[in-house]
Amino acid sequence: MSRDEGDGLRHISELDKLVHEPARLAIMAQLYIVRSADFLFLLPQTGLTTGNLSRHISKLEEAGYVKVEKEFVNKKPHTIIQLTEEGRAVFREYIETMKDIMKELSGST
Amino acid sequence: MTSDMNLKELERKAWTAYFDDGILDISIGLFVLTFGIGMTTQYSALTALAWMVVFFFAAAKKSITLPRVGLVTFSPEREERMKKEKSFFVVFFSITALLGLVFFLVLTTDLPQSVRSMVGEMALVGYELIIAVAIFLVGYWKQIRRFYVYAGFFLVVIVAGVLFDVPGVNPLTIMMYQFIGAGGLILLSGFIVLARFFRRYPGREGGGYVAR
Repeated sequence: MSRDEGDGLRHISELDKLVHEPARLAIMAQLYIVRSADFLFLLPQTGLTTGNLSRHISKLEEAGYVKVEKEFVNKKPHTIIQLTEEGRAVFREYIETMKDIMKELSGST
Repeated sequence: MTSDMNLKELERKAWTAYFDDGILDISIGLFVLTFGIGMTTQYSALTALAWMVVFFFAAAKKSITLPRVGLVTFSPEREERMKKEKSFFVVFFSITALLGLVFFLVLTTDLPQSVRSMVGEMALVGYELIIAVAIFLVGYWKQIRRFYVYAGFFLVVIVAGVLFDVPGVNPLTIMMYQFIGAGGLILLSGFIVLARFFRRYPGREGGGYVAR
């Protein structure tokens, strides 16, 4: 095994598995490009079902990557989600790591 | 670099989701169409009423788009761009209204018919150009490419109207029908986009959105 290949594997193991999951990656990417979005906006943009979106947002919230604010306006629920500072940093790091991996993998072929 | 580009494209898609509903198209189409009808008939007050589409636009956005698309707060850069856009259009439409007032005052003076007709023709070409530029800028600010097509189409209509005279037909009448034709086409396109929007974003029961 060459040194480069070893580095590539090390980068892969550095990936944040919580972010790497496709549904959560889609949610975080959507939230990264805006300041905040409501639940309704994320549904069509991520292509997830209500239950799935809710479940993945809860996981991200538990990890401290997103902040969820729930409010009732005229007796109707309104959920606003936004990335925390930590969530933003984690997503940025994820992108950088993915870039390194892709560079190394494409360089090895 | 590629990931930055893709995130920018993702942000553009999120932004344009708000305008892929055809409501802006319908509003602009209605404005141009009403303006044209107001000029071709004795109901000239319709030209002033054309501005009422602003209220239609606001009401339609609130009742059709927001409950389906949801609510987003965009990045500070985007919000800064939105502020600049608003300021620009306030200045733009103020100048347009002022120009209209000047032409109206000129037309109501005691000038010979030929001069009044020439001034009227110039005013209409001016308005057509202003509308074409405004549509182009809407495309630029909102990042919706079909508005460039509308602007291009409007320009072609203007140039065709200036270059080709129909014998026996008053040039003013031709211009008025240009407004109606162009407005009608934009309106039709808007309805098609709206139908597509309804398919893409069906209404959601208890979707969790509340307009604020």
